[in-house]
Formats: sequence, structure tokens, C-alpha cells
Amino acid sequence: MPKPPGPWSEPSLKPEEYRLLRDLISARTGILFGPDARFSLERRLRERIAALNLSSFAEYHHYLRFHPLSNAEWEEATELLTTNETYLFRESYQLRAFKEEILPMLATLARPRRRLTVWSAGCSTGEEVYTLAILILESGLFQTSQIRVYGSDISKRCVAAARRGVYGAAAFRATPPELKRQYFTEQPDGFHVIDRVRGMCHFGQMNLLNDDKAKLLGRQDAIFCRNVLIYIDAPARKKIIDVFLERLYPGGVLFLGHSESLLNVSTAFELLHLKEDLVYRKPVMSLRDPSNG
Amino acid sequence: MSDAVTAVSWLLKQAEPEARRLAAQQMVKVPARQVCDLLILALADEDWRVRKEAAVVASSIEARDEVTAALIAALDEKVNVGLRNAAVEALVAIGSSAVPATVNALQRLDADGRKLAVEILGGIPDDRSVLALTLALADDDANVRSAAAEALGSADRAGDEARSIAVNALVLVLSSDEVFLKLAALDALTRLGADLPWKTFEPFIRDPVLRRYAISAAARSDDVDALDALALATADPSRTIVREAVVAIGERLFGYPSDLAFKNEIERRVRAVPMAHERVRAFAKQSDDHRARAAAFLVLGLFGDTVDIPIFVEALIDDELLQHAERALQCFGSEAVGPLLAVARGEEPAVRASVLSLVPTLQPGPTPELHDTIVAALSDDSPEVVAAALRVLASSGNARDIAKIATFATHADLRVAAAAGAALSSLATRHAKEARKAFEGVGASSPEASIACLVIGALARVGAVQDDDLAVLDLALAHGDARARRAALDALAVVGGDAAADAITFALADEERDVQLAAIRALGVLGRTEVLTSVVAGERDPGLIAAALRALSVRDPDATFEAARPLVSSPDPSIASAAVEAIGRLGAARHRDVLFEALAHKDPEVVKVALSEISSQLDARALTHLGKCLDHESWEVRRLACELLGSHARDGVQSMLHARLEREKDPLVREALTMALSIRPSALSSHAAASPSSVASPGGEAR
Repeated sequence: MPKPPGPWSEPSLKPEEYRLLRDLISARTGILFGPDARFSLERRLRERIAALNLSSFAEYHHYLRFHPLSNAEWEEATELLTTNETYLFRESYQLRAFKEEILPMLATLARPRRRLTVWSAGCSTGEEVYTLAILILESGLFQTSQIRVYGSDISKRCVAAARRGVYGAAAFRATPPELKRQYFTEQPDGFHVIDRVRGMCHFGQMNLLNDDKAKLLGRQDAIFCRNVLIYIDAPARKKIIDVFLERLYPGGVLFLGHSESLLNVSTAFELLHLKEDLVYRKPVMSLRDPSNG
Repeated sequence: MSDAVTAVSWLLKQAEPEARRLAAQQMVKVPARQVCDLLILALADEDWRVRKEAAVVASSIEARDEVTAALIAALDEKVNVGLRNAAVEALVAIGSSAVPATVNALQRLDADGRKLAVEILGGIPDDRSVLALTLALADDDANVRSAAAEALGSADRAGDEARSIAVNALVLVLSSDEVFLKLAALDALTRLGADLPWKTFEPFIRDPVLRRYAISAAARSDDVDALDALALATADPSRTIVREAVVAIGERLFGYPSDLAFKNEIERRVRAVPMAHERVRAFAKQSDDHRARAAAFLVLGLFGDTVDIPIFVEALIDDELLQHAERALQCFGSEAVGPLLAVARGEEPAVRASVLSLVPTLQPGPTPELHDTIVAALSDDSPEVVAAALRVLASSGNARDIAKIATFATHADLRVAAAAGAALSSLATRHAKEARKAFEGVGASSPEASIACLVIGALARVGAVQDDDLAVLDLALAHGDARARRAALDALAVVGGDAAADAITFALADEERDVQLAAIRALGVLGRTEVLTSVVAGERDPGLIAAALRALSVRDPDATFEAARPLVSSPDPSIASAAVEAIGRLGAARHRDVLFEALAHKDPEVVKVALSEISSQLDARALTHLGKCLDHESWEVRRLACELLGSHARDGVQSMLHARLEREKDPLVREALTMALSIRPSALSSHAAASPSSVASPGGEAR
């Protein structure tokens, strides 16, 4: 029966409902909600309860689990649960390390294949993807190779925005002005990524916990997954790192955010110490890589 | 007295008809000893809804012999006509088990009662009924004899043998002196589709009452006299006779388009009959009798008078008349083109579109004037007309049309966009150089990117791809418009190669479902079976799984089977159905066991899909499984099994259906069973396969 309108009809997320929803969301998306996140989850999902004309979060939990349209609802929920704040050329010390130390190494590794592939996992609205593509072009090391920079995100809206490649002034707060001039054109709706860069970048919607989807990417020379794992619980984190390990070429590198590490997650990578940073590298002779026997 | 008897008796005495109807509905709960009296009481009710309910319920009462006897006794009723008619209805609903008692009753009932018994037997598809009816043709009472002849017109529902017995008995009756008996017999023979020699009907051609049946039969003959009679009848003073002749000629022309001998003979004859043209035209113009009007179109076409063309034009948007109008216009050939276009100009968009689509079929090798007319139609206000013109240009356009057509490829109306895409693709393959020149400046990020991709795809098809085309397609894959990404994928599939395959594979992660589907199709074209197999195994979306299985099945039937098999038992009915369809489509005998297994799925929809797939090859095992489904708990499954079994003419099948009809209580399934028992596939196929002349049998009812 429809509920009367008014603020008194808004449901609250009871502790037992929170536990159910938190575990369900974590299992499906890997997104972690800690003990203090109950009100944050309630605030984010309340509009869905109203949109579906449900009367409680318990009903919403049931809807996500069993309703024939649950897949569509997961899309909606995911949009509300993910954090999309980012900008171009973020964390410049890592990007310098990528351009000056990692790309030359990858140029040697990737030369026989004449192809360089980089994956930005959890790419949000595409800033990191275009940043990496620009850095690769700027390095001048891959002029005779095919370059593909893949961006994936769990949010459909983020992927669509990433593909547009149009950014406001705020996204350029860390971008060197000469690169902004060279790789973006100003238009009434914002700064557009130039075609040369866009042609290198491919975007897809992907849940990092779905290893079947990850296989669509093929093998990668480098994977960037920065500031994503902090939102994800330990079992999911381990699963994602295993996917990364599988997707990397032997010798390929994994970039995590400055506050993230593989401590207690995986010992399959080796640490590579760079001038300003450290990255994880898949051993050239990885025991877990079927291609190495 | 039991509670049920008390309750039903009390309800039957209520003044409110709905209460009495509910009483009838509850009658199945009444013990056998008391049910007959209460049933007759309900069947004699003054309200038709109560009688109807009681008639339906009668077939579900377990004390069938007692109920049948009570109903037969009710046929003696002289005052309450409602009771008598309801008893007839109830006995028909009871079906075959009521036949022996009804046949016995024919011996003792009076003439009115026997006529009712004949009606009952005519309503029950059973060979014993047919035999009894043939005997009733010699009844002492004229009304009973006529009713028996009429009832035999449904004998085909009891099978081919019963039909043959009925036809032979009815032919014998034609030599009787009784006009009404002959009338009923001729009508029954027509309904049975009996193909008899013209000499059987010729005696009736001058009989004012019976001649319409002779006319109808004449169209099934190639006898010269029959054709003369048929042609003459088209100008008969009686409208009924003209209708009969027009329908007979028109339906033969429509049903047997390759029978040119008949067409030429009848054309020559009708053209020679004064006033025939006017009479046929009158039928083609009138709108309240679709069957006669449709047939009249084909007869009118025989006169080849372009004055009649406006009559056909308005029928081009009537689904029931469209095919007939088109066939009639084919008779005119290119002569119809000018008048057709002229008439269409003032008509509604659907008519204009229909005429544009039809014109190329009338004029092989378009003239410059016709081409200009088609191009001019691209400026029409109606998307329907524009789409039709684009479809015509796809086959008849030239290089100069490419740029013009391209402007429609991103049209907001999807019909126009799709037609333009197809036309552009078709023209680009025929005029590669001009197509490339027209689109060399179009950027892959521009709003026209999808057009550029479409042209590249078409050029790749004829081996005219260039080095930088792949870069254009790569960039188009990053386009914000999903249409451009789809077009790029389609083109990449034609271009081929590992780089194309990688890009297409990643497009499976596109956020738009249409793009994912395009990627699956493209992978099918490239033959990337491993990726498609992993889509089937890892995807949750039934639509994508079905598409992947479809793409896979074209390239690798074995991989399709291996991928689909585990999904047949999926708890998700959509996924299980997609898997069953995919396996069924493979059509391999060795996979049929899996289809049989799918019949045990919990979801009736999956079982129905499996039944449909199994029915494409109805061997003995399939029939056994279909037979088992007659007892399925879901009435929908039982009904489909009935329908599928009904299209199979084995004796075993007929008895299976009869047996189920005895037990079935669901009215919709009962209806399907009755329908199934009335379908005679052998008779239908003989009509569809050959024209009357090619199977004419001098001995009468041999075929």
C-alpha cells in the first residue's frame, strides 16, 4: 500500500538491516562499509527506497537479492555508492616515475610485441586514462607501437562521462599548462581531449570482482588502481589483486595509491624501488602465471 | 444428506442467478447418487449463465455414465428448450464417452430427439459418431436426414478415414430428390474440401438453390465446361452467385500462383463475358466482405484495365488485403507504375510508402523518371515514405545518390536511419571509389562518425580497405554516441585481424547493451569462439547469452552445444530458455536428449521452449515425450503439447489426445484438445502442395 508522503515516512536503516545490506554490497561490488558507515549508507540509498516505493531497507535488501529487475537496481545503487572525485595528472610523483622509469622499462619489454597496453582500473570519469595516454605520447618511446589505454569503472555514468573526454577547469588543477594546450581544445562545454589521445583510450563498465570481464582486456603492461582498494574489504581486495596478477605480462607493473599496499594481501608481486616511489611488479618467472609453465 | 448436497440445493433455490451459477460450479463436489438431479435442475435453469456453467461442469463430474444417461433422457424434454440445448452442449463437452449412449438413443428417440442426438454426434470428433451419422442420412425424418448431412461436414475432425467415409456417404445423397438434403450435403462436401469430378456437380449448375455449390466446385476443376460455367457466373444476375464465382476464381488464383494454365484459361473466358468486369469491380470496391473483396482483386487484375488501379491502392495498407492487391497489380506489370504513383500522391503516408516499395517489383530496370520520383520521395514529410524510398534506392540507386542518402543515416527516426544505413552500405559496395571520396573528410569524432564507419565496413567487404581505416574505427570506438561505436564494431568485424579482435572483445565491457550486442555479433563474424564461450559462461544477462549462443552456433555447433548444455538446467528461466533454443537450433539428432531433459525444468516457459524445439522433428521418441507433457501440471504446457501433437496425423497421437480429452478439466486445454483433434495435416498439406489440376483424380475421392 502506498505510504503517505512526508518526512515522517522516511525509513531508517536499522543495525540488523545495515549488516545485511553491507555484506550483500560487499559481496557483489567489493565496496567496503565499516562499522561507522551505517548513516552514510542510509543517506546514499534512501532515495532508492523512495524511488521503488519500498517501506524499509529490509525490503530493499530483498529487492536487490531476488527481484527480476535487480540487475538494473544494482546499477542504480552502485552509482550512489561510489566516490568519483578525481582530476588530471593526480599524484605527480607517481606519474613522473611512470614516465621516466617505468615506460623505458616497458618499452624494452613490449618492443617485440609492438604494442603497449595499460589499464586504469576504477578510472572514474577518465582523468587518469587520458593522463596516462598523454604521458605515453610525451615519452616518445612507442611511436611504432600500437598503444591502448583501457579504463574501467563499475559506474555506467562514469564510463559514459569518461568516453566523452570533456572536463571543466577544476580537473586541470595539477595539469602542466603546456600539456593542457597541446592535448585539449577549449569549447563552450569544457576542455575536450584531442582525437589523437581519444583514439588510444577505450572505456568499459566493469566490476573488478568479475574476473570473466577482466579477461576481456587481454594482457597488460601496466595496471593503475589508485585509491580504489581503500574502499574495498580484504577478501575482495585479494581477489582483485589476483585478477591483476593474472592480467599482467611477466615484468608488468602495478601502481596503487600512496596509502595502499599489498601487505597481507599478496606475496606474488615483487617490490620495485623507484627514485620517488615504489611499485609492484609481476615477476618475470611467476609461478602463478600459466604462460610461464 | 451431505453438506455439499445441502449447500448446492440451497444455492439452486436462490433468486439471484449468480448464486445458482455458483451452485452449478460446485456440483463436482456432490456425491454421484444425488448429482444427476441437481445437474438437470441447473441445466433447466431460466438463466443462460447457470445453464452454461452446468453444461461445462457436466464433463467434470466423475459419475459420467449416470450423468450421460440423465442428459440423454433430457433430450425428450418438450417444453423447456433451454434444458434440451444445454443437455446437447453438456454431452458434446463430455465427448467420446457419450457417443455409445447417444447412438443407442437414436433408436428410441422421437424425430426431435434424434435431430438433437445427430447434433451431439456432429459435435464429437469420433469415428463412431461419423458412422452413426452416415446411417442417419437414411432416417425416416427429413429434418434428421438434413441435420446428419450437415453434421457430417465436420467429420474431418475425427481423422482422414472418417472424412473419407463421410464424403462417400454424402456423394450418394446427391442423387436424392430432397432439395434440402442435397443442399446440406453439398455444403458439407464443400466444408470437407472434397475434390470430386465436375460431373458430380454439373447437374446442379442450373438449380437456383444448389448452383452456388456447383460454382464453388467448378473452381476446383480444369474441366472446360466447369471453367465456362465459372466465367459465366461472374456476370450472373444473382449477387450470391457472382460472389461465389469471384471467391472461387480469386482463391484459386491466389492459392496456386504458378498455375498459369488456369490463369490464362479463366482470363480469356471472363474477359469474354459481357458485364463480368462491372460485376467484379463492384465486389472489389465494396468493403464489408473482406473475403470476397480480396478474391475480387485477383479477378479484376485479369481484366488488366488501368482504370481499376485506384481500387487496389487503398488496399495496400490493409493487412488482410495487401497481398491480394499486390498480386493483382503484378498482372499489370510496368503499365501500373505511372497510374500507381499518380494515385498515391494524394494518399496517406502508409499508402505512399507501400506504393514506393511495390513499384520496383513492377518495373525491372528503373527508368530515369522513376529514379527521380524515388529520390524526390526522400523529401517527403513522412519518415515512413522516406524509409521506403531509401529501401528502393538500396537496390536501384547510383553513385550520385550516396551523399544524399548519407544525410539520413543519423536520422532521429530509427526506421529511416536503418534504411539509410542499409542503402549506403549497399551503394558503397557497388561504387567503392565514389563512396570513399564522399566520406574522406569525415572525422571519427564527428557526429557523422557512424556513417564513415558504415562506409568503411562496406568498402572492407569488397576488399577496398586502406591502412588508416583501422585508426578511424579505433577512434570511433571512443565516440560518445553508441551508434558510432556500434558501426565501428560492425566495420571492424569485416576488417578483421588481431587488433580488431582485441578492440571488439573489450567492447563487451561497453556500458551500452546495444554496443555489447554488436560486439557479440562482430565476434561471431570473426569466429572468436573462445571469447563467445566465455561470454556464455560468465554473463548474467539472458539477452547477451542468447546472442552469444546465436553467434557461436554459426561458427562452431559443437562449442555451442558444450556452452549451452550446462545452462539448460539454470534456475533462471530466461537463461535456460536461451540455452534450449540454441541447442534446438543446432538441429542435431545427437543433442535431442538434452532437449528431452529440459522438459523436466521447473519453469513452464522453459518446458514450452523445449517442446517447440522438439516438435521440429516429431519422431517416435519426440511423440512419446510430447505425450507425457499432456499430463504436465501446468495447463500452458498441456495446451502447447496438444497443439503440437494435433499437427501430427498418427493414429496413436489421435488416441492419446482423445484419452486426455476424457480426463482434462481445464477449459483452455480442452479447447486446444478439440482443436488438435480437428486439425488434419495431411489434408492441409495436399492443398498447399499442388494445384487442383495437378492432382485431379478421375475416380473422385481418391486423393
